[in-house]
Amino acid sequence: MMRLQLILLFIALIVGPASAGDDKERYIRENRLLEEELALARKPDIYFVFNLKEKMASIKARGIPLRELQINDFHCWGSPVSGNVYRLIKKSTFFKPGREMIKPGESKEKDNFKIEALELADMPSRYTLVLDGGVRILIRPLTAGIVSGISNLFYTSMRFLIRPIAMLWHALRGTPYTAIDIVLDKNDARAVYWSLSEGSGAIIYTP
Amino acid sequence: MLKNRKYLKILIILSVIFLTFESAGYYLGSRDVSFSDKGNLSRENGKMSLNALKARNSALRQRLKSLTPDEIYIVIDTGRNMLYLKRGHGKIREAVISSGSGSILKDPAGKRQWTFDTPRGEYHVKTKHIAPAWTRPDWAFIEEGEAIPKDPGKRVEEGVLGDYALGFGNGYFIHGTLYTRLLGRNVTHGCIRVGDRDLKTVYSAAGVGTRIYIF
Repeated sequence: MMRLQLILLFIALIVGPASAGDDKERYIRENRLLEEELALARKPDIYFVFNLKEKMASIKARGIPLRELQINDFHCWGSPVSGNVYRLIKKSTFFKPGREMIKPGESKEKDNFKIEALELADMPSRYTLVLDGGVRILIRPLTAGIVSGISNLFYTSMRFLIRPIAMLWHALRGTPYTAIDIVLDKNDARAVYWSLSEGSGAIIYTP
Repeated sequence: MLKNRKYLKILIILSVIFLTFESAGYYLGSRDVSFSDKGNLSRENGKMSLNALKARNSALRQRLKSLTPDEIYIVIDTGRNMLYLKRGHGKIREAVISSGSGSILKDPAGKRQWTFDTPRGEYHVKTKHIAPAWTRPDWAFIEEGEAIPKDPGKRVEEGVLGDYALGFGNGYFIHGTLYTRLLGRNVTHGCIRVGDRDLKTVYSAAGVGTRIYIF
């Protein structure tokens, strides 16, 4: 009995400080990001918060959540995410939505009214957000149907074939490389593409 | 036979090299992606005790939460074409709207070009109008293939902006519409079109200075 108590005490001594250390690290990380967000909220721009821990993406301005989107799944890969605000360099996709050109006088000639506009439905649901600091966020929709399944299979194969080579390349060059896969509802994925513009700020809370 | 073995040997060597690179990259990449403490802010966090960190965390969260205004503000989602009249975290009213089409118009006679986007970011209600009249800008004539009038009076058009309009700068307004069947679609030249009943509520609730967030 005495021996069991000693063993339990020994485990508590080992696990206790380690867990307190983890907690401390978590709070340091969170506080840093909250401070960054408060600094970002001083400006009138729209920014994004990807909270992987709570599986929630938020579109915000001045600290006000304008819209919240559920993250269905995520996967992180590569270099550690920093506690700074990232800036969107570009939105990379195979089929970039194009704007309609208005032909002067055309609307008068047309008998049938047709809406020629750039709408949410025209936005891609599969794309990469290239952020500064070597961070890439791959947004994709939930698998639904054969085409979507094949596309998601492509992404999975990319994850296992291309990314390790890219990772090695960046490691040899001494540059950071982080890839984060985020699975959203199709319309939410489109909404992120719609709302994020180049230069927008993004804060990432890792799990 | 000998040639085939040679090719096979090369193939095996290349595969081994590729797999080595893959494994090394996979090892480097699959290590826990957590947090890097590279940054400029809050070095003091690292020196704090756990209890102090917890207290600071809760204070920071509170500060962030307190940024949401207690007074009325307007949120416009141009993707879903929705307007939300809000106070704090509560929603007072939501309305289907029409926002910018994103189309481009080029002036065939000159170098001017217009992109019909609804601007995004934070704005304030600057002006309020009852029974507003629309002063047609140059693009309105160019789009219709008409000559731009020299007489400013010929630009004014009554009854097309509905009963009320709230201006938020640079010629952009939240106003009414004759085309109610197009509410929910991106069809405007950048302004926000709202249905009559919703517009009356928004007009009554919002004063000059009310904040507008557009995304």
